[in-house]
Parts: sequence; structure tokens; C-alpha cells
Amino acid sequence: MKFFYLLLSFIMIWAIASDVQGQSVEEMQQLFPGKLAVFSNINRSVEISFKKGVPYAGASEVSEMMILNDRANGIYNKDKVYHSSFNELKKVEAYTLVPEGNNVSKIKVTDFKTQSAPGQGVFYDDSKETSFDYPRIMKGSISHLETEHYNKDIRFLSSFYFSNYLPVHNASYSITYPEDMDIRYIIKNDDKHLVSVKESIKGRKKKLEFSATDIKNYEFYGDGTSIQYYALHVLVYVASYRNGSTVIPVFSSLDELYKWNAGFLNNINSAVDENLKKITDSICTGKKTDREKAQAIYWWVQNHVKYVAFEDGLEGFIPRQAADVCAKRYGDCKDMASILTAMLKISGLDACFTWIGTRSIPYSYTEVPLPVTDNHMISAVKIDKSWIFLDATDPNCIFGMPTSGIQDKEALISIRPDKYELVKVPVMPATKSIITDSTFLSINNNLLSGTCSVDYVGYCGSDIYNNLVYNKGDDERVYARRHVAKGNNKFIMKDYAIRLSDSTNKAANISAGFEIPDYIKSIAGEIYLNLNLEKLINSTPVDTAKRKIAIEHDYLYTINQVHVLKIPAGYVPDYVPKDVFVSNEVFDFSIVYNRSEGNISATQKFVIKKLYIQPTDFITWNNALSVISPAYKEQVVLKKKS
Amino acid sequence: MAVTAVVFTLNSKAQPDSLYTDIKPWAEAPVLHKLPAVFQGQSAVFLLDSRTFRYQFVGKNLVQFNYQYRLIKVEDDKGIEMFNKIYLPVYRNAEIYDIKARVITSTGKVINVPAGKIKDEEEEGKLYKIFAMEGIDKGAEIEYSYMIKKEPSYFGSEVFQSKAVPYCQAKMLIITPKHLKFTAKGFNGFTMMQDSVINDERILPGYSQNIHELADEKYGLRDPYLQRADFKLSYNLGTNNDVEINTWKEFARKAYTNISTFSDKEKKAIARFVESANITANTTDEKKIMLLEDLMKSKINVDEKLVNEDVNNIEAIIKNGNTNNFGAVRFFVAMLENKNIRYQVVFPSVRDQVPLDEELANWNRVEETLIYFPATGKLVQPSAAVLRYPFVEPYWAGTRGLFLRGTTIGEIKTAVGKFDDIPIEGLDQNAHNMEVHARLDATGDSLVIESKQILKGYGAVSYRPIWTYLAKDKQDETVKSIISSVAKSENIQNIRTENTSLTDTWDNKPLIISGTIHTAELLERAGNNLLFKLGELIGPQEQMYQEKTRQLPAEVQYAHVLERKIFFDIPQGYNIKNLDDIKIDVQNVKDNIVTMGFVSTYKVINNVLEIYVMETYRDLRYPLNEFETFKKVINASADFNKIVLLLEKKK
Repeated sequence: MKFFYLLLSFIMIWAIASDVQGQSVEEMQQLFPGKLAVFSNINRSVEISFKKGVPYAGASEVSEMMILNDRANGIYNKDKVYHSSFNELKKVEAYTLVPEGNNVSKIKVTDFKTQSAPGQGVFYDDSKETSFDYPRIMKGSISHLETEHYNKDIRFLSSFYFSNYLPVHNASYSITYPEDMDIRYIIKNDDKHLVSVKESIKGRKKKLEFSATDIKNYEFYGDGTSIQYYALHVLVYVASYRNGSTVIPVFSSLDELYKWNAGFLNNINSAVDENLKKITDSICTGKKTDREKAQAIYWWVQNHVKYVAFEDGLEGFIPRQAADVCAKRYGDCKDMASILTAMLKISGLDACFTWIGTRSIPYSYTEVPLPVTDNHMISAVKIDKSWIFLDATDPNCIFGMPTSGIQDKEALISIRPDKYELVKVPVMPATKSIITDSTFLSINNNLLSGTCSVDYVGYCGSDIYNNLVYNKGDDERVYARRHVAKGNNKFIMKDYAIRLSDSTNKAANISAGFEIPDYIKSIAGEIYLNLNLEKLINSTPVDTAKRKIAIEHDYLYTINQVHVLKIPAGYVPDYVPKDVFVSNEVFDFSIVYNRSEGNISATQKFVIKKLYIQPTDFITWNNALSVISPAYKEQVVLKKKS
Repeated sequence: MAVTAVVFTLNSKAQPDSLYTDIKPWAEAPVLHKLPAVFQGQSAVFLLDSRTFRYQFVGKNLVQFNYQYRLIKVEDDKGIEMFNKIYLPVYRNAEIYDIKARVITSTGKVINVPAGKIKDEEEEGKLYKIFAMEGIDKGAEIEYSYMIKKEPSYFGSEVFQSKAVPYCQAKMLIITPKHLKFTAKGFNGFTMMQDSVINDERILPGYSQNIHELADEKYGLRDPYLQRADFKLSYNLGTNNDVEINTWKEFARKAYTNISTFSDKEKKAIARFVESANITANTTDEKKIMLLEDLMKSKINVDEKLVNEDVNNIEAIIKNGNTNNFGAVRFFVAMLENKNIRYQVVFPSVRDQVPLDEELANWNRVEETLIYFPATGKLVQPSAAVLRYPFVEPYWAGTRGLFLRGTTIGEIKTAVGKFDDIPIEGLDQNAHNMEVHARLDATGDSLVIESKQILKGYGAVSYRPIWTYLAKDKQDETVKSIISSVAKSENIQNIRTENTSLTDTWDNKPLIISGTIHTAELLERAGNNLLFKLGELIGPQEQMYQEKTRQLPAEVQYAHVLERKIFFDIPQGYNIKNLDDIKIDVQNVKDNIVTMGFVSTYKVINNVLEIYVMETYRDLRYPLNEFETFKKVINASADFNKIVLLLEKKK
């Protein structure tokens, strides 16, 4: 859907000229030691006015970055402003204030370049970026940016971020609006109560002001949640306004957001397309139950329609006609929802267009009844009184399971133009996505060799199916090796086989024969080997002093891994490590050793139980590691029979 | 199924004439082609890639018309994903027109891309026409063609090889009025034919077929090996029959003028700028070079992607503190001229890019610039903020390059261009050394490791920007992670760094990163005995086991050694039972000189185990027939990395 550019706005440096007392470089260095630069001011002021009875918003921004070190030259010279047809850029002006002795000289930016802003996974949209370079970035310089944006539709007010990638000394946001307009706001991630709010009235205008000072920069983590989960920001929105004597609701409640969303579905798939009907009928031939029909249709769309997104203006919100999608064989999420919903309906099922926010968005519809809460569209079908969520953008998602990126999110299901249902998408339990690795090992002439057979089901299976699309020929072998390699990187895969045994449930199996040179130690009649050939948990503890951001998992999963070693002739076990069990609210882990006739085995089990490992969980995590790490270092010792 | 056509045979011996004919392959009623057997299993294949460059007078003006044609067969989902979105690059000041695009589905149905679906896009400063192909299924063919009309370009280079998609047929055709004679050269298997005059036009064709895909490989530089054709306008027979135009010599003269001609205002500005360089009457020329380079690079930001347009003028550069690569070269040259330092401008054949061909002067291939100092035989790279004399981007050195030797003819400054070898800082200058002393701590469960990493030359060059460009907290974090490469630990004390300044390259002072690591990571328990993972001290090593079939020779960035000295206090009450595992000896010796090798030895003195490891890469290039040895050396270090010593408790 369209909203990517709205999300981009927090990267923008929005601001307005502030009258805050100028701080010296030395003072800033003391406030933010070691930093090369800081935002001294980021200020935005929005004013809502009326044109022919329709409200619009103008936003003026000023941001200033103070350079604290000459080394910032080459790092903070470039800047850009984002805009689109929904958030038009009316003015951009920039300059650097350069200290020269006791004076300050102003060097203006003269060249700006506007081009398409790269959208995540979007093939074409109308979002733009205007870039420029600041001259003379050196200690004591202040780079200054002023912009004006225009929202012809007040539904598209951007969120304001107080925190940024560098510390912010002063951040403020104000909105001025007619007194009879109902403006609401939601402040996010303000555990430390940094934001102060002031309301005032002047004449027939009201003003809301938000400000915060000395806000630390946020950090990025590759395995972390999106910054909306932790960056300090405020969402301000118009709930309703008055036009003469009538109150015009905007986003006063979820009902209103739904009404607005549902408006985009007018005239979509209003007539049944003959070609689509023919295809649907042929797919459903012989399918007895509703479930079978839905599954067959889902599978067909997943396999025949490729993801390509065109999002020009309102194209970002309006699904295309199912018949067109069928002919083109490509589409974005809305188009896939359109063809799915249409085909399901043709087959007599109760299917609905459904809006949803992926997990990159932390908001719920009830808390934030705004367009920024969703960025995705799927189809929901009700079978045997329960909803099944169908997202065909993942060509190998299993029917009956949501795509992993929408688990635990609210689905806004369009029952009728005037009726919706809000349903929470379930989190798939760790028992649904399992990797089961059975490995049999033997030792000949000091060389460890063996065979392994690894089964993948659930999301783990879908991942294999998806990746195999791109790994063909020799790449497939390299891919298989990467999955089965264990022990050390001298692992030599002999033969291998990949079996995609159940494309409905995405069950996959990779099996291989292998040798692992240099893995075991054989010295003076004793053999040493660590039977945990793979370590399912990374033993590096989380740096709790530093990391304040949750770790995000795509899905919950279980790994069962057994390594069975055939004890070589003439040897007996001399030392077998103790078993280990760890169970806490975040994960379960165990290593169990077993001795049986001629064999010794180690079974590792790891179950991840939370999608988000919160900073409050890190202690639990680290404590568990202090048990697991030593256990991972325990070797089995075999001794020559005396 | 639709009728299947036989894939066009484009065999030059059988049908040489067809190559000389300007045929537009777009058929009114297209039919599907059978995939040739050699391409079975491929996700997609370029059945035909045909590119025609026609130079033609429109009125009095010579205009260039390019015709581009592609026909691709897609066989599976990966192939569909690769070709369902098409980006057509559009040159600046060029007109793109007559865009045709269609899909012939596996059942033979033809689906055209509607003109309204073709969008304009500008990304990273480049313009594109973009569109999505409609109705593709497995076995379908994707066909598109377009025309470009532009100001004539007298140089061209066309690559006909891709990372993932093979070509069945590739054709190129240059058509000019007969008095304009292009010369062309095919590389790595692409064949250029003799030109021929047919009906007042001069036709110069080239072709190739069955071009396999060429992927990136570890220690492999792919671009020089791509099938391609370079061409240039060489003779204007209408005016001067036998004088070649657009030569390297001509290029050298023009480039030299552009780089080294300055207005009086510029000269004054640079004179003021260099005043702050601390140059005195006693400063040697070499020291002047160093000081000037450092002054420029600490004041001026060099960025090739600047939006700012006024970036080559010296006064503007000083005022704004920003410039691009070319501006940086001019600026540096202006400083040298101001101080009367002898220099030569060098255009390198960058090793990981398509090289400059010494015979066929394709001026457009020249992208990078170095400054060479004949007095010292050393180089400066004005565009690289993080590099200092005498270090330059390693791929820009140890290669051939066009040297511009300045000279004065009467009053006029000009230059003579000649290809020569660009020197590179050699084996004795570049090192990644370490000295490590490990002992068991009092608990007997952990190790205390005194670690010292000693980096010289290029070994240090990639690290030094840490101390120049990172904020303090990130510096500390990065240094810790560098030390942790010796042994993973949260507990690192006594961290020290020496010679961290960018200018420490001047006398090649070693960058030293040291610290005391407390860690339990390298010990494993086996009953009463201990296993010491000695090999992990040298850090994770690149390994090359079970690679795909090698296509490219090996090439390292720079010649270097890795000399490691490891000491281990054998703990009281333990014996080490497998010391001989430490001995590794893999070497390639040519004329009594080790060209590459990995040798590790040990001795025990006073209960201290002393290990000496020497890894050497003396040459830059290792041909394909030495690749197996190269792999063995690389893997020897990975093997060392797996050495585990068994410490047996004395009974």
C-alpha cells in the first residue's frame, strides 16, 4: 500500500526556527560528549486552515545541526527532504552558518536535485526526494534547513519525531487550528516523560505545542524492531471539524478510518469476470469442502501472480480489478487481495478485503485509528466460523497460516461497505514451525563422517521453498551445504538430496552424506569430540548496558537435533557430559545425552517462545547462557578398551 | 502449444552476410523458440541481444541512433522474477522512443505492454523508463526493443555477459556514413569483423554466441574477463585519410589541459590556501606533498555524488569545502604547481574494472585519477579522503596506466601520454601481524590473553579511519570488536592503540591495537582434560572448501604477510599431547622464492609453547593453473584455525 512515504517522513529533518537560546559548541560537547554533531533544533509548526470549506495543512520546518568536530566533514554534508503528491514540498532553503573569527558568515545552498525516492519493494510510486549538500561543514558550523510542506488532505499529517539518529537538543512541534476542530494526539515511547504539552487559545485559533530537550539519539540493530517501536514521537490527527453547523468526522474513531478505507473499494470487482470465473471453476473442480476450494485458489494466486507494485498517487490505496490482475499476472498486495477475494467469492465463499499493518508498525487500530496504522492488504475468508488470513505476496506461505510478518496484528476485515470486523491475527506456536535434524555419525581412521536428514515444516519449510526459487544448479548445492554444514567449516558434503515432499504444507527435507576433517581429536588411545556439532544458541550475551531495543524474531520455532555416534570398535565411553535443561518465559533449551548399545547420542532442543525478546528479558537470556555456554564446551571422551 | 521456431542460427561461417545487414528482429507475428539443449536448467536465457549504433546525418548534423533489442526466454519463477520488471536506461539529453515490449506466453498468446504503463524514474541520478511485463508464465518469451536518438558519441563499450543469465546470441552493428571509420575490438571471445562499405554506408559488425554466465568469485576480479566490444571513431576519411583521431596521445593532451590550467584568481586562491600547510624553506619536496595532501583532505570534502554543480573551480571549492573527484584532482594539482613540485597525472586501469585498452583508445573508460611523483616513485590519490601518501586504492595500483608527462613547447604547456606500470607498495610494506601470549587464569577455567595486533601499510589503511571519522563511543566499540577477533570476550582490559593517525602512513608506522582478554571461549572440557582451541586465536579465516567450479584466476588486493607469534604457558600439571598438529607447511616456490605460503612451526622453551606462523602472498596475481595451490594456502590458514590442543592432566 501507499504508506511507505508517510513512514519515511520521520527520517526527514523537520523543524522550525526556534527562539531557544543558542548554545555554544563547548556546551553542546559537554551535553553530548564524543558526538561529532547534534541537532541543536528540530522544530515544526503546522497550521490548519480552510479553503472553500475544506481543511488543509501547511507545515513549516526548520532544523539545525551543530557541528562539534571537524571530522564531521564528509559525514554530515548531505541531506534530503522527502515529498509526494500527498505531501507537497512548497519551499526548501538551506545554508551553513560558518564561524569566521568573531563573525559568522552564511553560505547558501544553491543546488537542489529532485528525483524518485527509492521505495521499499515498490516498483514505481510518486514519492520524491530533494537532495543537496551543505557547504563548509566544520567545527562550529551550523547547517540550517527550512522547508514548507502542504497537505491538501488533512488525513496525511506526518508524525513528528523528537529523537533522531543524532542527539537532539531542542525539538518542538506545534499545531494551530480552528477552535471548533477536534485535534487529538498520541505520544509514543516517552517512558521518561520528556515531552511537555501546552495548549493555548488565541482569537479563534487553538494551539497545541509539544516540546522536549536533550533527547538521546536512537540506535539501530539489524535484529531489532523498527524505530517506531522505540523512537520518541507524537502522532497528531484531526478527529473532526465543523463546517457551518455540521460536524465532519475525520478520524474520530476506527469507524471513520474504516469508512475512508472502504471508500477505496467502491466499484472494485462489482461484476463477475467471465475469464476469472472460468479459471476459478476449473481450479475448484473436484474440491469438495470450502477449505479445499480456498486452499486451491490461494495456491493458484500464489503461483501465478507475481509481486510488482505500482503506487502512483491514489493507486497506492485502490486495489485493481481482479480481472486485470488475472490478465497481467502481477500486482501489489492490494491487487493480490483483490483477485483472491474475487475468486473466493466466485467459488461461493465468504471472503473480504482486509487491511492490516505489518509488524514493522507498532500501532493498533483502536489506539491509533489512522492511515499510518496499516501498510498492507490481504484477503480474509471465513470457513467453519473462523477467519483464515490469505496473503499471496508470499508465494510459499502455507494455507491456514498468516504470513509471518502479520502475526499478532489486528486485521480490519471489510464485511460490507458499512461493516467491519477487527480480528487479531494469531501468533503461530513454536510447534508449527519445526526443524528436525537426525544425524548419524561414525569414526573411521580418525575421520568423522555421517549422514543427516533434516526436516523443515511450517515457516521453516516455507523459507526453504522460497529460497530454492533463487538457488538453482550449483547454487542449489551450495544452498544445501549451507543448511546441513556443521562441526567446522571443513565440512565436506558428499551427496545430497532435497525433497519438497508436500507443497501444500511446505514440508521439505534436505539429506546429505558428509565428512568433517579435523573435527575429532584422537590422541593416545582416546577420542574427543563435542557432540553438539551445531550450537543452536549464539553464546554471546546481550550487552544489557548498551542495548535497549527488543530482539525481533520472524516467527516462533522449534529445533530438534539429534546426533547419534556409533562408538568405534574397541572403544568405550570414558566421559559423557551431564544433561542440561533450561526453561524460562523466552525459550526452552536442553541437551540430553543417551548411551545405548554401541551408540552415544546428544539431543539438543531449542524452542523460541516469544516473537519479541524485550530488554526486560535480556537478564533471563544472559542467565540462561551462563548455563548453556559451559555445556556447549563439554566433550565426549571415548577410550580404548583395556 | 504454439508453433515453435528453431532458434536462429547465427553462425558467421554459414551466413556471414547476415551480420552486415541491419535487420530488426521484431516480428509481426512472433512464435516461440525452442530452448537450445546447452541451456537446459537455466532460469532464463537471452535468446538474442542485438544492439545497433547508427551514425547518420540529419541535415548538417551527425546524429546517433541506437536500436536495442532483447529476446529472453524464462523457464521458471526465478527467471520470471528477473525479467518481469524492465529498466531501460536513458542517457541525458537523449530521446528514447518507439519502445515496444511484449510477452509471448507459453501458449503463444501475445500480450503487449500498454504505452501508458511505461513510467519515468530517476534514481541515483540516472534516468530510466520502467515497466512491468504482463502475463508472463514459465516458458514464456519476453521481447522488447527501443530506439535512442542522441548527440553522437565517438566511443563505446558494450558488455555481453551477465552474472546469472547466459546469452544464446549476441550481435552488435555499427553503421556510419562511409567516410567515418570506426575501429573496434572484441574481448574475451566476442568477435569483431572487418568493416565493409555497402551502399554508401560503412558497416562494422560483431557477434558472439553461447556466452555463459560469469558470477563473482572470492579473490576473483570479474570485470576484465567479460565478453565485450569496445569501439571508437578513428578516421575521418573525408578530411584526413591516414591520421588517426581520438588517440590516447590526444586524450592525454586534452586531459592535461583540463586538469592543469588555472585562472589567475584560482592561482591566488590556492596560494592563500597552501599558506596554512606549515611548509618552510627547508621542507623537502616529499614532505611538501604529504603536508599539502593532508591539508586538502582535512579541509575539503570529496564526494563524487555532490548535488552542487560548481565544484571544479578552486575558489568555489575553498568557499564551500566540497568538491567531486575531478575537482579534487585539479585542486591537488593546483597546490603542486604552486609549490613547483614535479608530478605526472595517471589514469589507471583499475584492476577490478574493465581495463583501459592500450590499442583501442576508449576515452570513456577513463574514470579514476592518481598523481605520480617521479622523484620518489610514489603516488597520491586526491579523491580518497582516508588515504595518505604513498597509499592509494590498491586496485588502482599494481596495474597499467596512462601516464601524462607534462612538458612545455614554447609557451604552451602540454603533456605526452604513455602507458606504463603503476607501482604498488610491496610485500615488505604490508603486514597483518600479531603477538599473543595466553595463559590459564587462577580458576583454570579461563584464559588470560595478552593480545597485540600489528598492522602495517595496507593492513592498517582500512582501520585508521576509525579514529578519524567515528564518534568516541563507536571508536571504543569498534576497537573492542577488533580485539575480540582474537578471542571473543566481554572482558577486555588495558586497551591501547598506537599510531592511529591517517598520516602515520608517511613513515609507515605500525598501527598497534592491544589489550588483555579474559575469556572462557577457547577452552573446552573433556572429563579431567582440557581442550585449548589454539587455532581460533588467529581469528576466523577465509576458507575455500567445496566451491563452485573456478572460472577466474586469483588476485589479491596487495602483496602482504601475516606473521603471527603465539606464546602459551603450559599450565602446571598438564601435558600437551598433540603438538605436532601445529605443523603446517604449504608453499608455492618459484625460482627459490615463496610466492605464496602458510607455514607454522613450534618449540617449547621453559614450559612455554612458542608458535611461529608465517603466511605470505608475494604476488598480486595467481593464474588459473596455480589456483589449486592458492586454495591450499587459503585453506591452510583455515586449517590452522581448527587446531585444538589436548591438555592432559598428569596422573
